[in-house]
Amino acid sequence: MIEIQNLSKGFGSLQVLEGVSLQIHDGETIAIIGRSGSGKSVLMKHLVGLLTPDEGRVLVDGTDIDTIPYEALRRLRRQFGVLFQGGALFDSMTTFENVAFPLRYFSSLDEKGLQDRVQECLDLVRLSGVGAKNPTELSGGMRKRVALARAIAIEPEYILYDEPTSGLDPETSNTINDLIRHLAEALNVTSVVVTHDMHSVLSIADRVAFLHERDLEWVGPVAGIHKCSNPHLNAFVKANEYQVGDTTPALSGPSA
Amino acid sequence: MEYSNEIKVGIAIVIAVVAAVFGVRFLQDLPLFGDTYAVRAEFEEASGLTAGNPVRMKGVNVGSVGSIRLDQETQTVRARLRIEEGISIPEGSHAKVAGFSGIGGVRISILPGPRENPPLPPDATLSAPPEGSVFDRLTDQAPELANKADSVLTSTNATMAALSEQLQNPESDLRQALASANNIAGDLESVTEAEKETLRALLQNLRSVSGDLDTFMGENGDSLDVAVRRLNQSLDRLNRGLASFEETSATLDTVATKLNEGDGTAGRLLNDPTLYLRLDSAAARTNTLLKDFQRDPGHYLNDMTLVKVF
Amino acid sequence: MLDTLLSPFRALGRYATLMGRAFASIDKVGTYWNNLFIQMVRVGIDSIPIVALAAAFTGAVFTVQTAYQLETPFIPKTIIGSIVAPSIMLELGAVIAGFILAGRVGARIAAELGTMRVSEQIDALEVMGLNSVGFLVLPRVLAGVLMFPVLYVVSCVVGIGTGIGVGHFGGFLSASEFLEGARQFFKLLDPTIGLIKSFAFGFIITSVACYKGYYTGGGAVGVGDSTTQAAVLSCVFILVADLLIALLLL
Ligand SMILES: Nc1ncnc2c1ncn2[C@@H]1O[C@H](COP(=O)(O)OP(=O)(O)OP(=O)(O)O)[C@@H](O)[C@H]1O
Ligand SMILES: [Mg+2]
Repeated sequence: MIEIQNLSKGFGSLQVLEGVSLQIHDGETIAIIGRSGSGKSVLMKHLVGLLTPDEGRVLVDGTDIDTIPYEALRRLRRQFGVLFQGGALFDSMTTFENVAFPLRYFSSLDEKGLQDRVQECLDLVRLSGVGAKNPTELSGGMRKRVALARAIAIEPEYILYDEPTSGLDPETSNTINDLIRHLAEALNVTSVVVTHDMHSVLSIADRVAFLHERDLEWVGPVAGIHKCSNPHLNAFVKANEYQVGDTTPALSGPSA
Repeated sequence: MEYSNEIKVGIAIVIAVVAAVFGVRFLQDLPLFGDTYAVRAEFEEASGLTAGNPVRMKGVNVGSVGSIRLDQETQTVRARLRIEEGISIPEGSHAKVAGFSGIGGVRISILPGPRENPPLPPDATLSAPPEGSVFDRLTDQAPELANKADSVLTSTNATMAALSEQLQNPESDLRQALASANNIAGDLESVTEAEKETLRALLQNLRSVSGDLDTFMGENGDSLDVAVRRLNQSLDRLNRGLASFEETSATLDTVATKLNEGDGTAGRLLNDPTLYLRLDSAAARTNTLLKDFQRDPGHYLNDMTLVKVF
Repeated sequence: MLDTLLSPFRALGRYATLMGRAFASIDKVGTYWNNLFIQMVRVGIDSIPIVALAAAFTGAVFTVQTAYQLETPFIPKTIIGSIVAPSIMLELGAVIAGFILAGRVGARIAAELGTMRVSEQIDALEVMGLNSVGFLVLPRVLAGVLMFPVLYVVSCVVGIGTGIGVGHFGGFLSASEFLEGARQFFKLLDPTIGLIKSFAFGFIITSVACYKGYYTGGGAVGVGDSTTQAAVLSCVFILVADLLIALLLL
């Protein structure tokens, strides 16, 4: 379980988060939505100690990750898989090596097992046959999927996805959504998905947290998203609906 | 393939280390292969000598100066030399600083001792060459020695003269005279003992520098001549001193004989047998000492004439 | 105002902390063994040609100019060797290699780490549970410290070698005259100090570059800034360290 308590964070004069509190339960998939620049990625980075809160705490299974020693933090981080918004692939290595990287350091697989596992992960994100390529030779969407393959390679307990479907065609998006759901259900992974994509939200999330004006304005089950009275969230959902149009039955259904 | 980086790095490091070691040894004038052993050297004056300066023996490079420092206590310069393995320096060799620092040619020059001497063991110390200072020392010391012997002998002489005079004179205080004679005997003993050592050391020194004398003959022929002449003079004086010593002891003998025979005005002496015995023993002791002194210096002087060979 | 005054101290503190973290993870250098050798090749082996080139020209020019300046009948020609060889070993060998590597290695490391920082690759390493400082900084700094002396030796050998060659074939002084002069004034202290300098410069270049790269902020411009600053700061610190070593050890 991850517990965010009263977290505040600012950069210089810019206050990004203020008094954010949230509990993420084991095995659930929570979607964090919000406007671009609202601080979703910043919030996500706090969950693995990449950013330190100005105020408040982040507890992972009861441990305050900002006060434990660095070595303990490193051990704790090995339970996490993180998909960065920009992919953050190591451009000095091939795609294969990128996915194999965490396995080399944190699994006991032999070379054969490692190759199989990498292949499996690349298959899961529908990217077979690009193993020998350098990340710079891949398209944006492909890079994102390689990064996803890398994040799930060591089968972490927690996976944080920063916009897993942005920049992907609808079909591939659906594959990724299926994958996320599959991981959550089959492996009981706790997932935090940062996204703008309401289709994604509706198809994978158990709960939704809406970040607006430095705080989580609304947190609730995904079913309640259309019944809530929060004007900002309504506007956010409406805008998304308008943008996606009638092509998304899951969205238009409940709202009609 | 996995190890190709490690191999590259390894090769580069090995080459660099080899290049550095060989380069340094090359610039130090050391043999590129082979080892060196350490020898120490002491000087009064380093004349700008620094670590790395060459060490030469008979003009051939045989090593280099490893380190150099000033011993604060003794105010001498102590250097550590690295001598090529295979170059043996005979015992009795000396080291001196040669060349001028102004044009960078300072070096250590080893003056080898006699060829037949055993080689110096590692870490042995080479002293500065005697440079003629041994002769100075010798000529300085010899007259001193002679003077000492002289003065003792003179005073013995005088005392003996006084003694014999007093023995003739019935009014004199014989006890006092005998006591003073006794004192002189003691003095003589200590002098002989002390000078024996000095002489021995002197002669040993002489023997050990005999190898150097060869070199000096060439370089310092003139000064050597002078030194030898001075030395000879000193030895003459010593001889003369000893001769007078002999004379004195003869006098003492005579006195003793006279006393023995009960001649002259020695009636009171004869009345006191202990006094007589004491005088007798004092005379006897003086005699043995003198004989010893006579015999030993004679032997030493024979050795000393070695000097004349050069 | 106070911020501007304190910022150098803050930078120094961050730099020292980063180095502390790097060397605190030295026990895990085995984990990053491959990285170390990759960096040793990039920092060291790959720099050999350019260092050799610079050293060759330095040695040649230095010999020719010394010969020109000492063109007096009273001064023996061997003195040229006595000036060129120690100067290269004591100073030029290390400093020339240092300047070239500040540009070549320093800029490269800063750009590399800077790009990794702004593209979140460092964050990615961290969240995988790797010690990014141990993984990225330590191998680079160690590679600098270990390989710079090798480059120094290359620099000295090539510099003195070309000095001898140019002196000989340029008709200034024969190779044996050069060597005689070089030997006459040879002190073991010269290459020792040169070697100490090379260790120091290797550390300065790589550590400053790592610091600048690791703490890059703000995208491509940030990477550009870090790269420039790494090269410039390395050069400045090389000069400062050079002076300090000379003052302390000579
Ligand atoms: N390292 C940083 N330094 C300064 N400001 C930052 C930093 N990281 C984020 N910010 C600022 O914090 C705010 C939130 O950024 P964040 O990346 O969390 O947005 P986001 O919600 O993820 O947006 P998007 O959906 O576009 O990814 C932005 O205004 C951004 O400028
Ligand atoms: Mg974001």
